[in-house]
Amino acid sequence: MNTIEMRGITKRFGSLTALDHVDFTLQKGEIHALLGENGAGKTTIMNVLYGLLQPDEGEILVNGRPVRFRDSLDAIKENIGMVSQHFMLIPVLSVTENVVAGSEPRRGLFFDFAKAAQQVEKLARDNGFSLDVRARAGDLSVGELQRVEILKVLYKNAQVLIFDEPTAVLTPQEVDELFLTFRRLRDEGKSIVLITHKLGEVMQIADRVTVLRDGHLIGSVEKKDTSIRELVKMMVGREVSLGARHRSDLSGKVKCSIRDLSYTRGGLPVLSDINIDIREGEIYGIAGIEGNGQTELLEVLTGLLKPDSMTLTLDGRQVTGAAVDFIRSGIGHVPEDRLQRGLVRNMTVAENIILGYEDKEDFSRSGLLRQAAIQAAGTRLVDDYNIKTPDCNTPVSSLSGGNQQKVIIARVFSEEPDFVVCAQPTRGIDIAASEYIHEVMFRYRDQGKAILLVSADLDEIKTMSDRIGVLYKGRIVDEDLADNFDDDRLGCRMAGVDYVPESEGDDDGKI
Amino acid sequence: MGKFKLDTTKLYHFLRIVAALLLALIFGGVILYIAGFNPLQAYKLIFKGAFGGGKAFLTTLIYATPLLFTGLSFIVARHANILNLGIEGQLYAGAMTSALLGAYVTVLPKVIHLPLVLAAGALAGGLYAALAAFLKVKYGANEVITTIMMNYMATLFCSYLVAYPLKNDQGLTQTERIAETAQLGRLVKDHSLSQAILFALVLIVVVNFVFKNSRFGYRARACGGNRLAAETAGINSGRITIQTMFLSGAISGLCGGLLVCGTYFRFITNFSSGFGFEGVAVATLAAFNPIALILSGILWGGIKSGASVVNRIASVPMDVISLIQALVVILVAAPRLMDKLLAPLKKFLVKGGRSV
Repeated sequence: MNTIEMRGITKRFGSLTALDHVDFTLQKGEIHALLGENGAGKTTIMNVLYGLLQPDEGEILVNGRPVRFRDSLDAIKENIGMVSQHFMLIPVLSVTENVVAGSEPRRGLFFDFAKAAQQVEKLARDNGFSLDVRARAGDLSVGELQRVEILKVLYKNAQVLIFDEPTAVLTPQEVDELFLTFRRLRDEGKSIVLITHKLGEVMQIADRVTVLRDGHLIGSVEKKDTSIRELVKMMVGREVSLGARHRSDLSGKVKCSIRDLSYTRGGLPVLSDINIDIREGEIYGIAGIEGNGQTELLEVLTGLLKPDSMTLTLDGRQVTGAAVDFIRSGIGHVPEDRLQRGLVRNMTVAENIILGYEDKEDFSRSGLLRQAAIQAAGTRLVDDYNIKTPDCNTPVSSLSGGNQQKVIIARVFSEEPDFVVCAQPTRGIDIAASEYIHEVMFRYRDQGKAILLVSADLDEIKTMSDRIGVLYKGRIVDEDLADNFDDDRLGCRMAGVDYVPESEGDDDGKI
Repeated sequence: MGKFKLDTTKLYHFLRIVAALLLALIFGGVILYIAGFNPLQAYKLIFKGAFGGGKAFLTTLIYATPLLFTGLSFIVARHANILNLGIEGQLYAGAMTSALLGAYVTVLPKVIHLPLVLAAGALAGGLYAALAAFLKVKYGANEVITTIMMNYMATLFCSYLVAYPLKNDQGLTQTERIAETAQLGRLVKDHSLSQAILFALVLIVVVNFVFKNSRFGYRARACGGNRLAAETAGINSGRITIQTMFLSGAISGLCGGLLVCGTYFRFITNFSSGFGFEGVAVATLAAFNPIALILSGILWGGIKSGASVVNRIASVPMDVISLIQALVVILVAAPRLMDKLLAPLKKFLVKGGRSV
């Protein structure tokens, strides 16, 4: 008998059908990967299972018994737990308090902290977590926070654990530890759902895979009976070229040179002694765990933040001043959060395409916008960059994430800047759009331009970059040709640990 | 450009406002009924008082004129996502400045004097608003709080001026009458409607054009839509904020000047019956669209004008009318409430069913 059986689940949001008669089964003691692109409906169906959303049609059976969840409390009662993508911990409370919140042990009217701490400590020990249960949640690392989230779910006695993109924020080593935990939980007879769009993870950890696409169930397969190629085909609906692209030969002259970049905030160093040279025809990747100075590095290199010291030269010319001067000197910027810094949501596609370039002769003259020219540019770029939109006068907010990102890519690359600071260019968007954006970047590099790529997606850093610098606590702690980095070395460096190669060479076969 | 396609989403937004108006009238009717009046009779009188005949309509325009300015002032600031709640204060700054220059500068010919007086009023209002913007940009002072407080500063300071230093011979709290050369003419013979309304209409068209088609307007809208994105794109959002507020305040200040030059011919304490906040209401009713503001301003003016008629004839208290006005604003400002009531219509007209 299946632990969970979901039959014919349909969920509509207005005229959009997010899930269309999707079936999903989960067995006791399995790790089940739920695979699909962004917007395929993976998180939606799990939100239904966790009671956060109510399905329009379909039924859910737990251990063969039909159930109806009005909210997540109902789901928790059926021993279903979810670790969401964004941690929901209260930073000022201790680990213990966070774990037991909602079902605290009491003595009389009062919260019994000692007992709670004892329980949480035991739970952590049983699961092989080394964790100070009295530490404030706000002081923990990302990996530790995730363990607290897992404890929260286990404390409520969950037998079914749903993980939404759990590896997105972890270093490779932390991912390995997480997967160890998964295996241990499975061997105890618990069932795990892993929501992901990363194929490597699926092949590494899953027992069974269910693939969704556009709210439809494409199929469920045993991992041992499938391959990455087949999974991609199920996920995307067509063949996709994966893997190696040619690297730059790094023969160009230095295009962009960053010297002695330091920045402190409140007396604390945020960026220290950063020196990077990026050549013509090179993509330089910054690897690192988020929060090690990436955001500040991006802001300094685009003139948004004044560093304590820096000499930035582009083709030998020094670049100084405010953001507008950096743009005019030929530095393009793809911001790391497209909705926060990239787009004005209620403006049209065309208006967003000229943002930052509205001063140009093409787009305005003596203070007045040249509407016809803007329209023409919008229409042309929508076409050139494959932006799916009815026309360029549509508000950018009604586009999908991938197409919104393409608007930014179109804006920046069509202006042909000498140097592009490109942050998280494909975060949270579908494979087809990512592929397209990567192509644009490669083409641009091959024209002899320089790109600095900052991404939390290590696979992206590894496939796109010609050279990689690892940023740790605001320093470049390692820099080498991309081909000389393997996961082990990257992971150690990102975590600030010295890297000692186990053996030379022989590290192929990774995805 | 040959675009004849009917935008059903926009149609829905329009119908939603109409429905809010009707609903407010129904609620208001119930209140009138409870208060012992015949609602239909009262509404009929209001309508006749507002729009029944040329003279009534001209009177409505008198009521509408200041609202067109103050509404526009609010809309301008809102384009850059600034809440200018200091319109009243800017209005007073402009009115007082114009009243002083109009009364005490007496050597200039009309072609210079009147424009000078009006420009000075606009400048005063603009600078007063820009000060609030400066405090916001430089020191992070929330403009909602500063502008409201600056209303008190302006109105009370003006009251002080007319009560003490400028007190006139008859002991009235008003300034001296402005010179002939600073007076604005009437629009038509035999009616006290001044030419100020022409300024309002021209200004509305100009502002609409500026925000749609100028680089400054584009940047202001970008800052209003997403300040961080605008800054990332190299736009100096602080400067845009101050410029936009100056423009907004200048419109209010000009309004004050025009009321002095065209209607009262002097500064009178409490000359504004809350035009500033009524401007917010009228702008909301117009969904912050400058062109729609012409309609909502005239409608609002009509309600006020009709209300004074129904108050005179049927002694319906003005308070009840104010209550209906308040209901209109609340219902218009609560689009999701109206969405619920109009769900089938929305489904039919708005594609995608997303919240709009």
